[in-house]
Amino acid sequence: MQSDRRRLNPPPGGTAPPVFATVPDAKPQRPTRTRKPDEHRKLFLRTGIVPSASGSAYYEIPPQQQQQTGLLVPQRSSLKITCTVHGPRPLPRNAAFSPNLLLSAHVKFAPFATHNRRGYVRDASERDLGAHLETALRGVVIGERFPKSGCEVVLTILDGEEDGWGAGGTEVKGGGWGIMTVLAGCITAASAALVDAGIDCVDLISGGVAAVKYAGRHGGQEDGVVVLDPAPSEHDGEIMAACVVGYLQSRDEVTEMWMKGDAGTQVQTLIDEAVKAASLVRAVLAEAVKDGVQAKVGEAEDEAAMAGSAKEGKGKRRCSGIYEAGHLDDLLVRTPF
Amino acid sequence: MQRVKNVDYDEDELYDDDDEYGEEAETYSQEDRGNFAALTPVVRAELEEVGLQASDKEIQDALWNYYWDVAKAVTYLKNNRTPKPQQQTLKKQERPKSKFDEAAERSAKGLGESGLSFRILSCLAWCGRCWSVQDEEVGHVVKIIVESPSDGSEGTPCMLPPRDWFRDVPWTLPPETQGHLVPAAPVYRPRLLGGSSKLAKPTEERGKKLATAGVEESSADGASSSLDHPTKPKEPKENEAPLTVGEPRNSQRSEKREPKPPPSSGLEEEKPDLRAQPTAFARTLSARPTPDTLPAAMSFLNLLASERSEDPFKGPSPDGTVTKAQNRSKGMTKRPLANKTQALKLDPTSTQATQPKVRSKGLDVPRLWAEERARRKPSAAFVVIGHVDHGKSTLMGRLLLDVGAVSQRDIDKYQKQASEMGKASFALAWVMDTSAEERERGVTFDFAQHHFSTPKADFTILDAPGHRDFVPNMIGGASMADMAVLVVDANQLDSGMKGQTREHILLAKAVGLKKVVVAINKLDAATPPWSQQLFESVQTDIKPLLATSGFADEDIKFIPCSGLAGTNVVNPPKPSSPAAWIPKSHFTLLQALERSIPTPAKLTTTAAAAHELLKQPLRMQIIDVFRGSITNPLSIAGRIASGTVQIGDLVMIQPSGEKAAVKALDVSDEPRDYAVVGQICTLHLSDIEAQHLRSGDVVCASQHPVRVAKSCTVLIEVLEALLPQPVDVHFGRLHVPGRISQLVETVDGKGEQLKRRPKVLKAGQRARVRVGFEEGVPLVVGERVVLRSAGVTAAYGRME
Repeated sequence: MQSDRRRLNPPPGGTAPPVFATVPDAKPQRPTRTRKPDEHRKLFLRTGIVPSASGSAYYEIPPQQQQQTGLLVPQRSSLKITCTVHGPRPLPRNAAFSPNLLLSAHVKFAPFATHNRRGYVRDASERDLGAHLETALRGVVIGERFPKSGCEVVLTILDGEEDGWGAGGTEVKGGGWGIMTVLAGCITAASAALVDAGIDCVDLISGGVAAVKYAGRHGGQEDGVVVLDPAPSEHDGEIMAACVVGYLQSRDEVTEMWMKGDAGTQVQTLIDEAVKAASLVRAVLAEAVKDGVQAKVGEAEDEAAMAGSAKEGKGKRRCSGIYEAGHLDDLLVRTPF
Repeated sequence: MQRVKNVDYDEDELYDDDDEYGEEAETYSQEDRGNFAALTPVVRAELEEVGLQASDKEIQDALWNYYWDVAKAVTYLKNNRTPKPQQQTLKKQERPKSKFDEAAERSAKGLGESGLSFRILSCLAWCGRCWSVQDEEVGHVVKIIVESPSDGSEGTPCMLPPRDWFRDVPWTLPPETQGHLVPAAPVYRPRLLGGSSKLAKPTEERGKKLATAGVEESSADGASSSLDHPTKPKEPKENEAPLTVGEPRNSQRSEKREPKPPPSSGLEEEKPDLRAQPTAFARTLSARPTPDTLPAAMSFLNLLASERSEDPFKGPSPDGTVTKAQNRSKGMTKRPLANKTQALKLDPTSTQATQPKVRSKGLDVPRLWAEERARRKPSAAFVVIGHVDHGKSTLMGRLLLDVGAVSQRDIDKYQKQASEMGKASFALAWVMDTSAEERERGVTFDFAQHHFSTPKADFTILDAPGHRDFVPNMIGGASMADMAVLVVDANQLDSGMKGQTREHILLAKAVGLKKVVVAINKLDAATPPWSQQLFESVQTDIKPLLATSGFADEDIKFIPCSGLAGTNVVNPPKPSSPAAWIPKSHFTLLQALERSIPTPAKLTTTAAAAHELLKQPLRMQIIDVFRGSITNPLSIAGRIASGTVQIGDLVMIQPSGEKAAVKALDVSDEPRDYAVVGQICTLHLSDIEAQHLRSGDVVCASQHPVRVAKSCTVLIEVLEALLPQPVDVHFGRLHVPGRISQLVETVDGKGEQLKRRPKVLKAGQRARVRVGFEEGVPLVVGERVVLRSAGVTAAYGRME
């Protein structure tokens, strides 16, 4: 029998996806938003997690209070994003001359990232996210400083925000609001990774999301209330519009804005709230970047100390441009103060 | 509060300053200290008169710098102390700029003053409403004077937070309304005039230090402190109340930092700390290697029971170990070799460079040879010489057939083929003449080798061509032989005497052959057949010829025979035949050959000399280069002139200078481990290209290569009159065009000088001549040389 030896083949009988049994007596409860409308979820960000990449970052919104349902399926969605930056590196020889840094951003959901499994090939929504991210980053990277170079920003979403709430094992249906939060996370993570890679940026860029939530009818008109950082599983079916911004806080610039849905009269408020969310995230981003730089400087110092007193300044030379005093100041000048 | 790049406080520089300054202060001598004690109160008193205060240290510094000149020190301190208008001391930027910065500066200069971008300016300090800025490229100070739009009172400095200044200012090209840049007059720092370097240096340092201290707090703790810098509260009014304390973090430094609100006024509000604790997954993913985690990683190695030393580079490197081991083994092989012969000594450098693939067995060849020779049959190589068509090849064919070296079947085959070509009588010659052309023409072109053995001895036949055109080949063959078989056609004696019989005799002597067996051939074709008279007349004709050439009587044997019929070659004639007279007084050819072999008795007399030759470095002239077999694609044949060779030896081929390894070697078509001087052997070489091998080249021991020279001195016996003239020079197989460049002297038999610089050399003279060559030729001292010109042998001799 002829068999395909070139690929890793699945078992001949096929596999069945795991079906999680629901505990009969514990009915899964739909998560509710317990935080204030202008409160952002806590998040975790760290740089330098991939040693082989020029720069990398890990971004996470841990699940909030975990219900004790006895189910294995998390009831609340969380967000886990890794970002690696490869570059700046020379363009291939056959590439045309480019006076600027050629930036490319790829976003890929891991197949297990969401309740509805994703394919291995990037689908339309992932490509869309990549395009959005690229726009956001283009405005922040100083491309003229890296002629004839390319830089790849690769984001892998390990755990994507759900679009809605699937009551334990059922199909999740939603309005596609989850990817808004994902994009915001991608922007923040990419910014941290870019700094980690030592690519010159005009500022730190942070992503923020805000949404208009349905709040009843008043006088024949649908009334909405703007909430920061909506988790779609908490606002199942309530979100009317959402907006993502990529925001440079110290310059008060928005490099990327993506609005979805009908915000009605509240467009301005929605954007402002998204910007507010971004500036909240920014604080975490700046801290993470500083921590990352400090860790690297510490490492370099340790190395220099180990190398011995004969070669002073070796540690300094060993670390890439960003730790040089000037660049460091350069970077920190633009951190909020 | 700074918003632009501050490049000045380079940590190195600051450290340096502090160090040097400290050293300076400590080097005050006892005398200096006395001076300080005496003069400091004086200076202080003077300063107090004008209402100024100064610390002891400042006064001491001033005194030190002005070399105890109280007046100058006071003036300096006064100047230093007097309140000055707002002014910044500048420091030269010392950090090398990146290419990008330089490029950006250049473009910024093109933009003009208003376009001076903040990115490229290294702002030194901010004070009040003025930014003093040093343009790195130009070197002068640019002062940004800002009309304060928010403050109504013109001209009075207002303390506007820089955040407001730069609100809405894009990254490049600040708008006109924000202010404009005016080049300010260069600001000079107070300096000492004309002091010695001793004075100038500390002053300069102090100036720097003052400037540093004045501008802002010490940033001596380097990069990490400059990290903290922007978050440090400097202007309390814009710094909001402390924010909620973050969750405890692992780095203690980060605890004192708090995120600051953005400049945007709309968002100026208290911010919650959004930093979350990482989940277990994130902790695993982002954990930096700590000493706690490392042993866990090591445990896998422990599982594998592979020990890892503390410092992997402590011991010698793997390469080093190998080299050491190699060196040790080299030493081991060298020691036993040391008591062996010189010829076997391996050159350590050459073996290292090109390690032969074949391992040398390291045999002690001379000893083995001495042991074996007692058991061995005597062996000899003989060259068959004589005029063309006197039946040399046929006689040898007959000999080979009769001793059984060639089967009758082969001869029958040759017979059939030869009769088809109408040359039935050449069938036996075809045993020796293997090439198609030789067979077709019935003439031997190149000498052929054949081995055969009798119960008494081993022989190598070298069948030389008789034709005059192939004399060079004959010389090559003869040079390999121990003795000669001169074949003379009894019926065509005259042609031989005029032709190559004579020359071959001379050449045989010239190449150093001592014994000759004269086979008087074709006696069966004489009229009457097997006439004893004819045989004796030929014998009397040949004898003087040999005698004049220098062959001793006892070294000459005459054998009547017939090659074609095979009479008296191996088998004596039947008593009934007309040749029955032969066995009574003559041996058969084979018997004669066996008896002519340099006898063991004779060898013993020259045993010492033979042993000497064994110990000499290897010399072997290549007679033939050929493809031995598929396994041995490159083989050479030749007679070893001196020394020994064994499998695995590294040999050098001269004049190409290439090295080769002896992969295998054959003696008399049998594989052997070694070969010694005098043997005709075939070497199968490896590690060399065929293009470096030519017949006539010399194979020599790689550590004792033979000299390649373009001229040499030769002691010759002159056969034809010689002038300084072009000649063909034959060294065994090698024949090269050369030129007698100088007739050095004529000598007598004992080698004493008769005449210096003769004009001409006549036949029969002994002379020393200088021979030059167009190309480098491998020359062995003592080698026999034959000089030929215009197709005749003109002289022969030895190399000196």
